[in-house]
Amino acid sequence: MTLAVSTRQLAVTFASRGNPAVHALQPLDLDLAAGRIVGVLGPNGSGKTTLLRVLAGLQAPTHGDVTVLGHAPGSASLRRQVAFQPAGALPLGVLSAREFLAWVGAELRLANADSDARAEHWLRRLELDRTGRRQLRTFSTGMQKRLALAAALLGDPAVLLLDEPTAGLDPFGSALVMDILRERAAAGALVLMASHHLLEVEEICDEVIVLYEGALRARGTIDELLASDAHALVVRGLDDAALAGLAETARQRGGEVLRIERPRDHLFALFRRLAQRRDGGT
Amino acid sequence: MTPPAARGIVLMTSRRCLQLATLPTLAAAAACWLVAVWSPPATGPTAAPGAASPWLALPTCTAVFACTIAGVLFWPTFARGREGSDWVVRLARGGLGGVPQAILGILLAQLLLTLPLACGLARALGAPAVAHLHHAPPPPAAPLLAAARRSLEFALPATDEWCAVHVQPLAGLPTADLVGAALAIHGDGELLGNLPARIVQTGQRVELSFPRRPLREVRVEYVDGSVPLAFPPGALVVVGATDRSTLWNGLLLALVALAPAFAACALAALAGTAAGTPTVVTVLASLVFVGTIGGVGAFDGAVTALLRGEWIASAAVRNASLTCGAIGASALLAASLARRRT
Repeated sequence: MTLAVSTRQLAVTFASRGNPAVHALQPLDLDLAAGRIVGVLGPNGSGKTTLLRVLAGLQAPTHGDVTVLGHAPGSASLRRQVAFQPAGALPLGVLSAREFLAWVGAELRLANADSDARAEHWLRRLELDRTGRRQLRTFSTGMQKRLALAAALLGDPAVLLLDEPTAGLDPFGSALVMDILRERAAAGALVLMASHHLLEVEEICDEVIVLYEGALRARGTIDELLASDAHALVVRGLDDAALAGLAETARQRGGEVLRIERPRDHLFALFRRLAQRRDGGT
Repeated sequence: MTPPAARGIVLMTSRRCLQLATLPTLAAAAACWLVAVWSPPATGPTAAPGAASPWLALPTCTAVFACTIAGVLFWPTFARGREGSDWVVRLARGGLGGVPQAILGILLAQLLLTLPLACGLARALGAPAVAHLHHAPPPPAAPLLAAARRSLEFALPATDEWCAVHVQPLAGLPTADLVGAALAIHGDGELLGNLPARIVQTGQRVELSFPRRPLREVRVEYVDGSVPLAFPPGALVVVGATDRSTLWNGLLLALVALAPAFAACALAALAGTAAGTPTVVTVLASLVFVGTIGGVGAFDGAVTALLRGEWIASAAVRNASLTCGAIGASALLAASLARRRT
């Protein structure tokens, strides 16, 4: 297992004169392996964005040690290897999508031709290749999110730090983004994503970190966190009387029947199926 | 796929500044030229292109204002809390989030806009085709000239040849019946000539031309009269004999105009470490105003000099521009330290 991110007693405190100090992150020990998708969950103000900003080198920790790919966050050698997608709007709103990616490529010191080829690939993949000279400020939230992901992926990073990567995306866009993140993880990248979309996190993440008021409250795989001793039996073709008989049999064998319900698929799963059908048709 | 026109911060900022500043600058230049043509300044029978300096200063200042404000609004890290600044801080090299490169882009755009004004519009407003060095030698101690003290000596740099002297002293009250002061000008001990007019009042400017020659020293002799004269710095100016192109002089004006813009942008960036966009733009606009038409620094005098055909690259202009540059560099350094602390 290759360690991509490691923190020891990482803490961040915001102090301002006349106001009580805010402990955005309380001493936090984390070891995150490469090749996994890790979700960071928690209510607003729980420290998710602060954690990502520390790992991106944008926020200095008040206390503790942090290494990303063996280096201090923000060191020049990580400029290409670590990508950060902040939650807000993109800067330089008067540029077109291609101009924005060209600037990102230039800052990452990619050769012009290489940068243009990568940009074209991600624009096509994220369905932004027909935006022409349209300025970013006229993009919808979802388009900006997809372009932000394209910018984050331009340098082929080994660590992707994503703050709300699917906020404002339509279900097709979310499915596309999740597919891409899976591919990146399969290629060996660590994807660390803060999100409020629990269904998406459940679907895509190998592991979840739950923060509350800056402190780590839970950590583990989805299966570990949602583990239960209950079992579900899904059947089809029985009437109500037969179902009642099944339940009775379960009781007679010492079991407890928690509920009998008609299972229903999630809308998100429906959209995914529709998206796959659409992709298959084109 | 069309490759992007500009990838780096310098060219991107420059392009944005040109997009926003070109039209207002052209409009200001056209308006000023029309006003100058239809309503030339009333200066009597002699040509006085220096009187048209407001009509050159206004479009040049428009370019400076428009470029600096457009650039500061374009680049996100000039002010605190701007949308998307995390992207820029993370990607742009250096501790200031690309601000120095953005300032360079602003200055490049400004140079491209002010150069045609300083070369083309200046000629259209009456600037002579050639410029000459105008050197004001420091006056001697107690620079008074009267019947009792009949001569003053001014040392000149040995490197140049000279062809004229301009005299514009302060005049005192006459010591007897009013008789204007008659002066003779000597160069290196030889008489160059008598001034063609007697000086009777302060502000009167008299010129004497002579064949070009190197000079180490100029002596002003009080020939006769009852009006005592004082020669503060600038009251005697010698004119260089070498013809210098007004195009080069225009380039110098465009370069001089960069100094206040640089200082204003750098100080705005320093303000931006603690303040948001409205404060930063206010600071920027105020500093540009002070540094250009506000008269602090070299810009105002350089505009007049260009139109009068005076070579701009004087020591005073150089010192004022270097001071602006030093202020700007210090401000950028301070901004870098402030950002590191936050």
